[in-house]
Amino acid sequence: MLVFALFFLVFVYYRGLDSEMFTQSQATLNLHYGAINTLFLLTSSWFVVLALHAVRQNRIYRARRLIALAGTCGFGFAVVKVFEYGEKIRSGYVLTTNDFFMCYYGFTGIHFLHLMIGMCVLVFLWFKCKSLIAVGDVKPGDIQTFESGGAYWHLVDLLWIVLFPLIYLVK
Amino acid sequence: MLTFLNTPITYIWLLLATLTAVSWGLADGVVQESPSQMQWLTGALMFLAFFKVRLVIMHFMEVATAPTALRTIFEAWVAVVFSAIIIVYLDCV
Repeated sequence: MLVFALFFLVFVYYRGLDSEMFTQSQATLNLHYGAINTLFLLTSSWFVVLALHAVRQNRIYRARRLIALAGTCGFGFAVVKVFEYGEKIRSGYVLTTNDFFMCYYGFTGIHFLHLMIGMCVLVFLWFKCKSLIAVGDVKPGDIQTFESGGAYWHLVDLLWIVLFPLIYLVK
Repeated sequence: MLTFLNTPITYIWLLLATLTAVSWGLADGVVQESPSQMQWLTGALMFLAFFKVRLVIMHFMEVATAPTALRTIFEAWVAVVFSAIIIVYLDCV
């Protein structure tokens, strides 16, 4: 979170050095993609919290379905992001175009990497549900596993909550 | 069947989604405003963003019920990063 806080400040600082170029570059982005992706991540985080509640109540089948729904939302985010990257690259906006696009690809790319790790965490939790169904009992350590995995996924969510307005909306 | 959805977390999610829609609408409706209006808009958008971040930390990550030290660290992160962004933004415009 400290590293991302620095990313946010670096972006605002460089924006101030050439706000006209940043505003022009920002206008090439489709803010609807960013907003839809915010809704995807918020919804996936909600599913993860509900899944944790279900695990605490020993309702593992429900938890597994909720983890799958969270993963589907995460996948939705990835599809929109890849589509958006493709659209920008085809239009000639790449990492080296200017400082705005260096920040755009750099920061959203690092966030995307965290999202991919988070997707792996969700897959792990899904298989954990499967093994808990086989065992038929939830131990305190299992709940901690879900709490830790969930906290990581929420971290991915909250970093995007700041990146979205910073990159797509701030004027 | 879906009674498990009737929890405070669902209302937090609805609030988060609504605030996202508000930010979306605010930014989408902007054509060409004066610099001071842009500064207010930016301030409002960042305030909404960090309010949402705090909701996620407190309610989704359950920091609201965590030990005071942990809660203080997260509250400080939200306050310091939000303030720093606004200060750097205003200093650079």
